[in-house]
Amino acid sequence: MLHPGVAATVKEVYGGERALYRLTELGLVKGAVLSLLQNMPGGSLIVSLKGSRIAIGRGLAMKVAVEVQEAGDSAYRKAAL
Amino acid sequence: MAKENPAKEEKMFTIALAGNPNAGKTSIFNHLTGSKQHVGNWPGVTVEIKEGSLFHQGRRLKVVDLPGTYSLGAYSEDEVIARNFIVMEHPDLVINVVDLTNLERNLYLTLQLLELGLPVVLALNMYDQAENHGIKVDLAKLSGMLELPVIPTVATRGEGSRELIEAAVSIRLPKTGSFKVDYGKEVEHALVVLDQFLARQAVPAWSPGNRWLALKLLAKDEAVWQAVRHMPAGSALLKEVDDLRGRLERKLNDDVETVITDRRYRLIQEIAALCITRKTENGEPVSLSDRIDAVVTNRFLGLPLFLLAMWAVFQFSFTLADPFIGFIEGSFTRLGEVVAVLLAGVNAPAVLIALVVDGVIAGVGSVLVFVPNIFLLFLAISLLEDSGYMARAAFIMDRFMHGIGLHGRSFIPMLLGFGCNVPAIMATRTLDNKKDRFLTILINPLMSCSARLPIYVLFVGAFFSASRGLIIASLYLLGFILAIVVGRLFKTFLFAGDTSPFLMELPPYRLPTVKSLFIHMWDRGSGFLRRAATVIITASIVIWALANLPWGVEFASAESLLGRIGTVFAPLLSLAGFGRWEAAAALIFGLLAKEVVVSTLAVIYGAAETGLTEVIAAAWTPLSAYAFMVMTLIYIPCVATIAAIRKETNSWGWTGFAVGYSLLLGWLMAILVFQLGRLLGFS
Repeated sequence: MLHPGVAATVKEVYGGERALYRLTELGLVKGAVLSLLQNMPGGSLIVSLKGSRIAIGRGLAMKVAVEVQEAGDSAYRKAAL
Repeated sequence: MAKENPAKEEKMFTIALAGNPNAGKTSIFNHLTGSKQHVGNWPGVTVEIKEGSLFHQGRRLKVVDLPGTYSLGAYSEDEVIARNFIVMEHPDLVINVVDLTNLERNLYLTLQLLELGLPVVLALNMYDQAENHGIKVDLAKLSGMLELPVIPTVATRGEGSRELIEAAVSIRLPKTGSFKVDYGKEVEHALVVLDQFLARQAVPAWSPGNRWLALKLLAKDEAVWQAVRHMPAGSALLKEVDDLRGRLERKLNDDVETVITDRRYRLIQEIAALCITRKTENGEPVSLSDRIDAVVTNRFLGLPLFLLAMWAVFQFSFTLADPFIGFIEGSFTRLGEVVAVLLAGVNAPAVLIALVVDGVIAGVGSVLVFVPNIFLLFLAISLLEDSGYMARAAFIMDRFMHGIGLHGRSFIPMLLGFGCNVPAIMATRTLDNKKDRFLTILINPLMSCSARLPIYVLFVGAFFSASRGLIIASLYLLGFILAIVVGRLFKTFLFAGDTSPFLMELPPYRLPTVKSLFIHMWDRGSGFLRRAATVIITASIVIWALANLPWGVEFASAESLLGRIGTVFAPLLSLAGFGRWEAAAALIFGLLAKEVVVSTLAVIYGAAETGLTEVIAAAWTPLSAYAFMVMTLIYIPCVATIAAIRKETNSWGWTGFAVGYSLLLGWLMAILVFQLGRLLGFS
C-alpha cells in the first residue's frame, strides 16, 4: 500500500472489463500519475489524479499496480495502490 | 436520417447538454432556460429527461439536459439514456460542458461525442478557476484541433451563456464523421474491413455512421451487438467481427478495448500538450477543497462529522419549520370558518359546506401544515448534494455498505430517500451493476421519506411532546437499520455474488448559489404541493363521501362505508394495538400517499370540536401510537414509489415483491413493538 502523500505511476490495472472501463473513463490508466490522499481503515481510499479526487474501494485499489520513485533513490518500488 | 417523417422536419431546434458529472452542466442549463424547464417525456427514450426552452432572436430553442456521464458506453442506465438520446433523437447540436481544471479527463467524453458525427460546441467551464490554478488555454488551437467552436464559460455566474447560444445557432454543419481519432494501423485496417462489410448491409436507420458502428462492434459494445444481431445479415457480421477481434488481439498482444482507449488518451495528451500551459508545473497547490477534505474525510473524524451533519440536517428542518406550523394550522382553521360563512351566505346546501370545510380544507390543510418542514428538509438535502458533501458521505459509508454487499455509491440513493423515495429510486441509475441497483431500489422505501413526517409529528404531538426529537429520530433510525438488515438478507438469498467495485469522483467543494439551491429544492419539494392539489384533495373528497354514505348515517361512524371498510381490516391490526377501524381506513388510503394517513384521520376525527391532536390523544394510547408509526414507516411504498420501482426495475415481479415484503415486515414489526412494549409494562 502507498503512504499518503506519495506520488506514483500506474503500471498495470488488473480487474474485470467493467472496472477497467470505469477506471479508464476517470483517467486512471496505465502511465497516469496519482497520489494517495486518504485511506479509511477497512474502507476506501482517495487518490489525487490529474486535478481530480477519486474515491476508490479497497478491493479495486488492490488491483492497481503502481510504481513509486523513492526520494533520493533511483530504485523503483512496486506496490499495489 | 428519418427525414421522411414530416413530424420530425418541423421539430424545434434541439440542443442537448452533455458533460461529466459536476462539470457545471446543470448550472448552464439553469442559466439558459431560467425557470422554463420541466421533465420532458421522450418517446424513444422512455425515461424522463429534463428539458427547457429559450428564445433567441425570435426563435424558440429547446434545450435538453442529459444525465452527467464520463463516457458514452452502455453499462449504467444513465449512460444508456444519454447515448440513446443522442443517437435516437439526433438533436441538432450538442453543447459539451467541460471542466477546464480537469480538461484531459473531460475530453474523453468530447471525443466520443465528436465520433457520433453531430455538431458539438465546447463550453470550457470554470474558466475563472482554471485561471486561478494557473491553467492557460489556447482557444484557437483547441478549436482547430477538435474542429469545433470553443466558448469559455463561468456557469455559476452565467458568463458565456449568450456566446454559447450564438455559437450554437450559427454553427455550420460539418460533414458527418469528419472528426476521426487515429486508432493505429491495425485497428484502422479492421475498421476499413468492417466498414466495407457494413456498406453492403442495410444498417439500422439510427446508426450515426458505419465507422462508429464498426468501432463499437470492435470494442464489443453490448447494446450495439444486440442491435446488430437483429439485422438481416447480423450473425454473419458478428462472426466476422469476432474473427477480426481475435486476429487483432493476437497481433496487438492486448485487448482491442485497451488499445482504443489508449489511443484516445494519447490524442488527448497531444491536444493538452499543445493547447494548455500550466504555471505550476511541479505539483498543484493544496486547494481549500483538499484542506476541507483532510478533516471531513479523515479516518477518525469522517464518521463523527457525518453523523453530526445528519443531526444538523434534521435539526435545521425541524427547528426552523416550527414557528410556521402553528401559523399554517391557524390559517386553515380560519379559512374553514370564513369559507363556511361565505358558503352559508350564498345559501349553499349544508352538505356542500361540510364537504368543503370538513373534507377538503381539513384534509388538505392537515397535510399542507408540513410544507415548511418538507421544503427545509429538501433544502438541506440540496445543500448536501450541491456542495459536494454527498460524495464524501458515500466515501465514508462505503465500509458500512459493504456489510450489506453494496458499496458507497448506493448510500446516496438511501440518503436521498429521506427526502422522497421516488427521485431516490431514480438516482440508482448511476449504479453499474443490475443486482446492486435492484437491491438498492428494494430497500429504499425503508428510508423514511418526508411524507411520513406529518404522521410522526401528529402522533408525537399527541403523546410524546416531551421527547419528540428522540421518538422521531428512533423511527428514522429504525428504517435505516431495517434497510441494512433486509439488505443483508436479500443480498444473501436473492442477489448473491461479489460486491462490485466502488469508484467515484469527489467533486471539489462548492458554495452553491442561492438560486441553484432553490431551484433544486423546488424541483424536489414541489411534488408534495402537486400531490396536495391532486391526490390529497381527491382522497379527502372520497374519504369524506365514504364517511357520509350510506345516506343518513352518522358522519364518520363505524356504520358509514368508510367505517365498514375499516372494520373489515381492523381485526388484522389488533395484535399491533391499533385494531380500530379509523387506523385501518387511514392505512388503506395511505397507500395513495403516506401523508393521506393524516388527512384521512383529519376527516374522520374532524367532526370533533377540539383539534386533531387532542382527539387522538384521547382515543389512542402511547404504545399503540408508536406501533402505528412503525407500521406507517414500513408497511407499503406509496403508489408513486411503486410506480417508480416498476419503471426502474421494469418488472412487475420485483414490484410485487417490494410491496409484499414491506407489508409483511411492517405488520410484523408493529406487532413486535406493541407486544414487546406491553411486556415491558408500557401501555
